[in-house]
Amino acid sequence: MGTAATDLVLTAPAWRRWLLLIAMFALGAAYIAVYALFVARSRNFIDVQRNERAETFAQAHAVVVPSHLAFGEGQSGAGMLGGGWYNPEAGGAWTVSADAWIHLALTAPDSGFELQLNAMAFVVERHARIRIGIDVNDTPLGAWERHPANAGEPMRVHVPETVAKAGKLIVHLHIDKPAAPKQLGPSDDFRQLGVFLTSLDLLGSPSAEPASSSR
Amino acid sequence: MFFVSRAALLLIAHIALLQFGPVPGLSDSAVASYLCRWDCDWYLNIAANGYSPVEVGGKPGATTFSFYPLFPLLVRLIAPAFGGNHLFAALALTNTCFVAGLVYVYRYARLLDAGHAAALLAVGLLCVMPQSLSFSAVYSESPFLLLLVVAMYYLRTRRYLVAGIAAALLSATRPNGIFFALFALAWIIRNAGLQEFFAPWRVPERYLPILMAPLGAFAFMAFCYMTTGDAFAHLSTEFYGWGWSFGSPWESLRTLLNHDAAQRLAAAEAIGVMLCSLLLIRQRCYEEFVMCAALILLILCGQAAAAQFRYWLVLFPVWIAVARVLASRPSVSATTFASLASINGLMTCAWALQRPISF
Repeated sequence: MGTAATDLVLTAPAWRRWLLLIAMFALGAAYIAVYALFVARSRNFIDVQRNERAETFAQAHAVVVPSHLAFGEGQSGAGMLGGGWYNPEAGGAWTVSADAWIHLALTAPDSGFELQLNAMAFVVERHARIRIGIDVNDTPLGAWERHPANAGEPMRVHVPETVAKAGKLIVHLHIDKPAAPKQLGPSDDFRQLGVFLTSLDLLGSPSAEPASSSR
Repeated sequence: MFFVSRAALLLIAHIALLQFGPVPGLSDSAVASYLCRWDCDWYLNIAANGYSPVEVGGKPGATTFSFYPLFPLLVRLIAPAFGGNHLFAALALTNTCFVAGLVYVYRYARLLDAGHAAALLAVGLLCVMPQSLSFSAVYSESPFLLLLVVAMYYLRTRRYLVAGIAAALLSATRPNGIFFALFALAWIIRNAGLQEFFAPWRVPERYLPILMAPLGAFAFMAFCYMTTGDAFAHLSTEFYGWGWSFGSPWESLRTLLNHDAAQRLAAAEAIGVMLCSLLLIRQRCYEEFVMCAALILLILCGQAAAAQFRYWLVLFPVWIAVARVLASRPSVSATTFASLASINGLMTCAWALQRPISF
């Protein structure tokens, strides 16, 4: 049966074979083009949904400078956590991936201010260093390196007037790179943990801690 | 073999439920409900209501996009024949697919020159392997098994279009279905030689299965893109909702080995499957080995996936290879069957009670 089928194929007219070949090349090219389109245009839909939700919440709960927002379950800032966060726990929220967003709406922003994130980085002996970068409305404002000795130090940046004036602020944390406790030792926690954000302070003080790449 | 194994597993599930009481949240005690655990509700929900990007409250980040569409789509199509009961439709579908899959596994084994006894043994192994109940439950394992064996069988018998259609449906059933293309690629190279491989204009039909294999996955990606703006919605929701991420295979194995006894059992099974897959090389089934090795690596890369016994079940060429070795050793064969059946019984209890295995 197999041989007969092969013979049929081999005796097919040349034009049919070429037509099939061209069609298959076209299909292959279509795969590549469509895949490239998907990669270029797709946005993580859960992040998009959560960012939309957080933005709506932030608009309805505008804050003034100075303010203190806590991110524990049911606390004032929890609704402002967009994509990239696990559900808030009692004392704060863990990042879920390399990118996480916080949405803020400021009432009458007329000058720059200090933004301080009070967070604990997930660093342990076998995962001793992570880098955290912060940008606000796509303006890079600071980057830090965290290791077990300074895992709990707050991260503070100066948000310039030009950025603050927008009123709507999207704080983006980039973490390089999160790790799962389960991979590092005897733990059942499979989550990819980066930082545990407990609270955020908006401070009017002009004394900005200079952002550097390794602190 | 099918009926005996299913009856035994259902009896074990029934006894487990009688012994340890009803499962919280599951009030239905009908036998059919024993086959509806864990992911079952997701599939039935998709079959009844279609896909939704809304996160499920109790499991943040979890959405129906985690599940590939062919199986729930078929359930939806045949549900009217069961009075609109999606559970019955799904069970009829999975069990029919499993029986048909077993028939094709037997035929495939014979195609690989396995004897009648070895081919039957391979079928038997599939019936008694740990978590083999998932073949009869509301899971996509049995449609996947059927489509995989059909695609491979018809490629080997040179029915390229049939193999291509089965391969396209396969990648619409589970994402790893696309790995059939590796089998097809290896088969063409081995059968036609490298020189002929690089001259596709001579027998272009041969390449149809490879080209058609990604069709199902791409169709689902296109659907995801149109409905959510995220062609990779499947990965997004798996990551958020189920905590799945990719890592190196050895990391996964090390993680499993460093945990409790249940995870170490999963690691032992993973290592066992890897070793068994080497039999394919010894039996000169190189194409099957390439595909199975790639699937094994993929499962191991998937972190939590390695702990799921059911993922190993569909690697039927490995079980055919094992059966060919066991066929001439009746006592070893009986011991193997007894051991696998015991573990399967234990897992069926855990399944019926909807509890993870822990020691």
